[in-house]
Amino acid sequence: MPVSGASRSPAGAPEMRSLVRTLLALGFLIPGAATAQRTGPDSSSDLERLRRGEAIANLPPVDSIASGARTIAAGTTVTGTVIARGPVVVAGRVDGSVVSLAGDVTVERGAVVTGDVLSVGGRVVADGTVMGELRSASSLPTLMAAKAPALIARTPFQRTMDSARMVAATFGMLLIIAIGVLLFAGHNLDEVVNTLELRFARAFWAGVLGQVLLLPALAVLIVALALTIIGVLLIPFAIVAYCIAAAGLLTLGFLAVARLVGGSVRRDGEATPRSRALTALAVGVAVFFVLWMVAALLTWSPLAATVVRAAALAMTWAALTLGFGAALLSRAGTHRRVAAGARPVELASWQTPTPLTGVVAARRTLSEVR
Amino acid sequence: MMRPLAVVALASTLFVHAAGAQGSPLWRTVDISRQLRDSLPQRIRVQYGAGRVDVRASTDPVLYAMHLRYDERRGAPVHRYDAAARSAVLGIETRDGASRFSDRDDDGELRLALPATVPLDLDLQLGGTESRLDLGGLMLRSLRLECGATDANVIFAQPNRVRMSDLTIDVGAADLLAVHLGNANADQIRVNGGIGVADLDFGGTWTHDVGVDAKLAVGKLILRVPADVGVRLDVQRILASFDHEGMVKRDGSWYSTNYDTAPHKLLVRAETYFGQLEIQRTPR
Repeated sequence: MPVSGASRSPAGAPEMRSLVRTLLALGFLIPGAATAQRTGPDSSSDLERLRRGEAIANLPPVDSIASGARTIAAGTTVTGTVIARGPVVVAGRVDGSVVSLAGDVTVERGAVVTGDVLSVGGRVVADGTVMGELRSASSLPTLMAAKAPALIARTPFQRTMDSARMVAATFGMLLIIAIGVLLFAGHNLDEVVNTLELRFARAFWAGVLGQVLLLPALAVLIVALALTIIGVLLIPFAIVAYCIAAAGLLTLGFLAVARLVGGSVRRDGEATPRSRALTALAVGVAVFFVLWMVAALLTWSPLAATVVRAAALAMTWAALTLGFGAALLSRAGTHRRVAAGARPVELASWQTPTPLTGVVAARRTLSEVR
Repeated sequence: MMRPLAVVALASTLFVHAAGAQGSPLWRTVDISRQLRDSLPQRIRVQYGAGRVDVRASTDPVLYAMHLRYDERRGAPVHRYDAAARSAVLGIETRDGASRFSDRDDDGELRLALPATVPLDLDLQLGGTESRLDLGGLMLRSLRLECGATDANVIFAQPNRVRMSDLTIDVGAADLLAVHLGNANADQIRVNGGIGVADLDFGGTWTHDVGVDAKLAVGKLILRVPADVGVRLDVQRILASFDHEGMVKRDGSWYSTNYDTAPHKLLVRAETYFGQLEIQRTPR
């Protein structure tokens, strides 16, 4: 079609039309020819494809493959696999398999093949006995390349850059989540941070216990739901909801720890509370990612990377455990009494210099009075 | 003007060919069969992920004859036979890393012919397929059909030539149509459905009573029973409707009016949760 289309173009550039035709023809034919060569009978990998793809055993050397037709005469016995690049007729006995790479295979009445019979691009006609399978295929099987060599072939620099990119991307994603939490669940985050500050050790042990009980609690939930027919139908939804809740608590807790750490690293006395919280979160998350980034940048040195990665893992686990425990204790930051109940009373705020209206005024805080 | 066009055309052509070489399917067809040596019982398991499946009886003296069209990038044929155990595994294995379902799987095909003269225990494990299983005329001792997202037609156009101890059909999200189950010659039929429609027609030649255990979570369960067959139905349903026209309730079960006089009986235990249970009487 492209060639006929070119013939309708205006006169004046016949040599160009010819060039177009030639190039288009080459464009279509070269890859086609290459494909034909890959699957054709001349490929040196045919034996390997037979061995691995078709499980044909006892293959002969390449130079013993008949280039054309082959006949096993009646009364003769051939031991081993018979391969030909043309049609094969078996009238005798073959103790092995019979393969034609470009033609039919005929097993005549009274003939015996103890292995398989395979024809590539032809048919198998068996009036005799074939102990194995009869197979005819449109082509030899393609041996799919393993993916592992591609990974091994990458240079240490490429692997290092990939690891660094992965850490940076994770850091970016966590920052986005942190901003979202700050915007939409800022009070919950505050409460988890407060719980962390006031019940540090308790939060850690609660986190450990929570991690240990995560799966058993899910199992109990599933069993409880399975007791009723309606509950059975709800099990998939319950599993998904449980996983989302657990992931939410872990994230909230980790961000609370990050904010606590960030707040202690960097103190902005002048900034607004929201700005302080955001800065503390970003710095805190960055602190936790520093070790991961160092580990990623050491990818070229597997031993050093493993050591640093182990340290990063331990630090992250501790933070997750602490945060998870605090999130559990504060019920995802909704149970304000946990923190408030243990919060030390700021005595100065209760001092009223001058009672304005009797006893009631003495109970007011300074801020209320102002 | 023409030279850039030629270069662009050549580049596009090469790109298309190269892209095709990388991502397009590598279709291959293969026919695999094994000659039949004796008539001793055999166990055959068929596994197939996605595509069209056609199973039927063969008059040729073969233990199995399988035609496969498959994408080499996504799967490889399975054809293992253990002569000592008298068992065969046939079908397609999905390659590591290849997803089980894709649009182009629709072009894949498995056609399987099984011997009519050998007692068989047949186990069909089908994924997302369009299946036509014409199992009449075989000698099935047991049949197990497991299918995922399937449009499955199970047809017993001719009587099963031996008594089948167990016929089990497990379907996920599927439309199942089973025709002439009376010909299956089965003692017990179990149908477990997830979501979809299970349409079970019990036409065919009846030689004995048949028990049916049918469970369908969400969807419609239709039982088409010949008019001369007596039906007893024990039904458990939750939020499901039950059309019991022509049935009477006795001792907690539903009976057809001809139950006591019918030469053969269908004993049904049905459970359905959300959906509809329907019994239709079909003329002979």
